[in-house]
Amino acid sequence: MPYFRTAQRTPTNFYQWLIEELDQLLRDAKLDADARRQTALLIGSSSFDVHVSEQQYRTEIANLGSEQAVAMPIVGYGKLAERCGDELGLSPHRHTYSTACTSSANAMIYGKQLIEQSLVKHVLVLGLEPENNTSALGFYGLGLISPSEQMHPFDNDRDGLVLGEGLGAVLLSDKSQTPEHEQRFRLMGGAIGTDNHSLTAAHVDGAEIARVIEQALAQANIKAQDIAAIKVHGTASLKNDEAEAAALHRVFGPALPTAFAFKPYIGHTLGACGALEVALTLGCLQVGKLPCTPNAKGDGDLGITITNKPLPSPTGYYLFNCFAFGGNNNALLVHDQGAEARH
Amino acid sequence: MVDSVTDELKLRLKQIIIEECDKDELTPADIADDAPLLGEELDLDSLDVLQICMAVKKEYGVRIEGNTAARRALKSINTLAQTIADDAR
Amino acid sequence: MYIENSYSLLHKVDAKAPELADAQSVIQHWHGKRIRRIDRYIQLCVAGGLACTEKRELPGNTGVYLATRCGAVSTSALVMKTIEAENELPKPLHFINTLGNSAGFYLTQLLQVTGTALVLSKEAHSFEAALLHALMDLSLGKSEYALVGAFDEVALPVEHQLKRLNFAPDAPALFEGSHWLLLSNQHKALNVSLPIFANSLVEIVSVTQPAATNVQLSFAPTDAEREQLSEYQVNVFCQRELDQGVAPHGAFSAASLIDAVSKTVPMLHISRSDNGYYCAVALND
Repeated sequence: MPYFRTAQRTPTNFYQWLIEELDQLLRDAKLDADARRQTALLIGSSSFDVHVSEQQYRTEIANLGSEQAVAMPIVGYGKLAERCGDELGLSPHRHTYSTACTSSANAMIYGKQLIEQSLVKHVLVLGLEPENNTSALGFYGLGLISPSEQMHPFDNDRDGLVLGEGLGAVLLSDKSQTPEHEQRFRLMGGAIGTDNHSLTAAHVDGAEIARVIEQALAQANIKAQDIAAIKVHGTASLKNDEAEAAALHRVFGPALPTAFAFKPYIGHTLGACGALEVALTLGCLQVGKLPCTPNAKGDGDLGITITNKPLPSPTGYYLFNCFAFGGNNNALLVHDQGAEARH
Repeated sequence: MVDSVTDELKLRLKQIIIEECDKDELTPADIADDAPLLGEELDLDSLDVLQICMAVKKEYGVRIEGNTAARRALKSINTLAQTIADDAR
Repeated sequence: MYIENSYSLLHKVDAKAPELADAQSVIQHWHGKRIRRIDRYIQLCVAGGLACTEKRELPGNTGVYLATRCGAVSTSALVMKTIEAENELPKPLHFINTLGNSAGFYLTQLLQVTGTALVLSKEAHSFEAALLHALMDLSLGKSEYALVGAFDEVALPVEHQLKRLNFAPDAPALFEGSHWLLLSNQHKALNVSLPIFANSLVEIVSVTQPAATNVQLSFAPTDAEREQLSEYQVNVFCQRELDQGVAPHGAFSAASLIDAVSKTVPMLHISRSDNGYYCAVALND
């Protein structure tokens, strides 16, 4: 089965590895002990540490036999955040989001709100998805994995997704806590909506997704024509791409902004993809480029073309789409005021 | 291996459908051999289809893959039984 | 924000003769029929959500904030067993039921709401985390109503569940349940404050400055903790069961908080997490 693995192989002690990564991140951001006490930790994931749970269960099966062994030995979605929060001396605001593929995108919205409510000064949002059998075989059993082992979002020959693992982190800070030269990107907020038409696929008419995008725009007080570019969800599954395309046509009409996608490169990282794809986008914008997908054909009847040429990144508002099983839809907006504006 | 359509096969398929789709209120007698399985009265959806296909594969070793093949096989109990019998030949 | 309605289903599962809460009959009562394909974890969610809303017609933008400490343990264990012990693919339905949004999907569909839906988890403070998110959204005017519910199940066999939860193997019983608040921005008898998290009771009391003299705890306090609350009339929720060693479920603080709400008097509710944090929620008139 195809899978996008990170170059860094699974660490022997996953928890220690995660804590060290986060500690490095907080050091890079120059957050001292005082600032850390004012920093919330929000984790969004589909599977958390289920890979450790699987490993532990396999060991127990080998030692005790499958009758005695306890399946799913590690429970408590919030354990990871508490453990990291305790070790890193963070604020007691450690919240864990479990809404499948929108988990870390949803965390972004509430990160902003926690800061605006003055409950914390910084928020570390994590999107986390380590490779595990439950997700991989669960998706395979649903027939959603691409037989061609390649993701072609919105193309006519799209045939499903490839899963991936990853860790994405975004640090949100109150303006008063952010040096002026780091005020380039601003999270404008976002919206969440529920499409309970079908448990496993979005409604292909795109109305519910369009509603969420429009809500996000309205809350941020900006118009569709103000959007500079769109990071699509683009899972390359038949119905979900159809729904996303229909929604984009509803919201933007004939003037569709440039659209770009990450999943052909990194796979669908499920609960991590919200924060991870925002982090990757900001990295691209910092070097002045939009990510492009060279093999995107754009021949789709869906009328959405993923950019296949390297383009300079425009300043302005970026829309991030993210949708999940069970009809949980998320739209985020980020403003890039450009590299020059900070001087 | 099941290589012909029998009443026994059809009864078992009805039991599988009731079980896999959690249609507790039904008995095999409620499902006619030629009644449409998708939409209409029984109203099975795509998730039911996946459940049935996986159960059929486990019990009979018959793979029904892809949306089109599944919809064709799952028109009725008759077509599903025929698909299984044909596969064995 | 105000409390429009509340509901709590708290069930004690005897370790020797386990009998699980009958959530399907609650669903049957409010919905009129059984819902197929949902596991007990989802049943607990749907039963609680339907019972708390009592057939109200809620505005479409009503937010639904679900909390669980451990999630769909039974079905997740079943999926893991299928994969790791039996070397088979998990059944599509089982896998789908383990996904974060599945419980919310069924509930929002029945309630016909399409607004914000979240699933929050924060160890022993999972319900309080969901409550915080609901209150933040209500105060921003994202909706007029918010439905907040916490639910955790006992997964059988009991000895496996006790091991997972790190409880003594001889615990006489385990709790499970589903506990709900329907909040609105319309004036009602009781209002609920934003949950406050802190690592000492002294800080909790100084920050909340409770007008009420009643405190309800969702944990058995140490002598030191009792001392710190000596000025207050302290009630410990389910003290007898806690003393007997009954294992609380992930949503236990929610059960305690809903119990406090049902007393309809001003009260400060305090819960405690395993790593020593407290969470206070003030109920005022």
